Amino acid sequence: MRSTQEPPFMPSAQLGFLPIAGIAPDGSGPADFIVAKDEILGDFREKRNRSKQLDGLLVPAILAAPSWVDFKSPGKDDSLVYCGLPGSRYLQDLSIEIPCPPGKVFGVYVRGRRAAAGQWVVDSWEWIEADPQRPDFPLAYQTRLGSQLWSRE
Amino acid sequence: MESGVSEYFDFLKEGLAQTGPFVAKPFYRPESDTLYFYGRDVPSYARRLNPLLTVFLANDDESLVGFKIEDVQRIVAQMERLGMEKFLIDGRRNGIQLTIFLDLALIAPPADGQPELARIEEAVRQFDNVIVDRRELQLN
Repeated sequence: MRSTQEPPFMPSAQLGFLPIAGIAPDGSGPADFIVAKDEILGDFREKRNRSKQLDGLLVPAILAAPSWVDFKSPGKDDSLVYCGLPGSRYLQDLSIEIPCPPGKVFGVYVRGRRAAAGQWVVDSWEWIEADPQRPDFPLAYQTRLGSQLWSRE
Repeated sequence: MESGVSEYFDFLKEGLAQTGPFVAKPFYRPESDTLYFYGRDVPSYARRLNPLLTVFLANDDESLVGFKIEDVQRIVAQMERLGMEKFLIDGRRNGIQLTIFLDLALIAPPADGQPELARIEEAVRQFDNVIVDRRELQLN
């Protein structure tokens, strides 16, 4: 559904990047994300990695409504992982939607952009094993990563 | 499509419309100091073996699809201390066998015992002929 509100400033003019609207790591409000066109998306395109491109379609939904946000690993305080459970995923092309893989949660890795405070760069995305007790949280979320920044609770 | 992401979706759709054979080639991301490799194009998920190494396993049968190695520059620095010439492929001045990075990353203790470690260690041998061009690691 298209939003009727004015979209937040998106840095679409930045050469080589594509904008994605999401929420700030602490859940306090909107935040800008960008993805490198050539280095990330173009690379998957050149290698004909359809699985990664299809999973890439899930990235905006997770950045906009994560279930959980954390540091990627202790000591890396400018690298975060946004996690969430999309409603479905794509198979082969956009015409076939299938359920998400059982026992997995989708993670999007981002890092703070030094040149623009408050802006985040998407580095990668992948399905990761989910916690059996919390299917929308990653496995061992209490101990494996850093300190939880925000969760949808 | 959602507001603020139409360019992103359009770019992905364009890519998905292209056809051609899958290319299994490692790629390095200097920003995150991570070396990625996908050996096949199948839906997969990530399993973290240790702080350096995460493997990608097929959703269907948990076979090895690829992996990512973090802190690559630390591994490269160790190679240089040991003598980089030992790691270069004969006749390829800049070629390093991908699985050397893997074997070095596997030295770190497994995150939680990892009972399947032996299976994965054996499976990575299928990628022994994959070469990393060290110029792509920004070593020069």
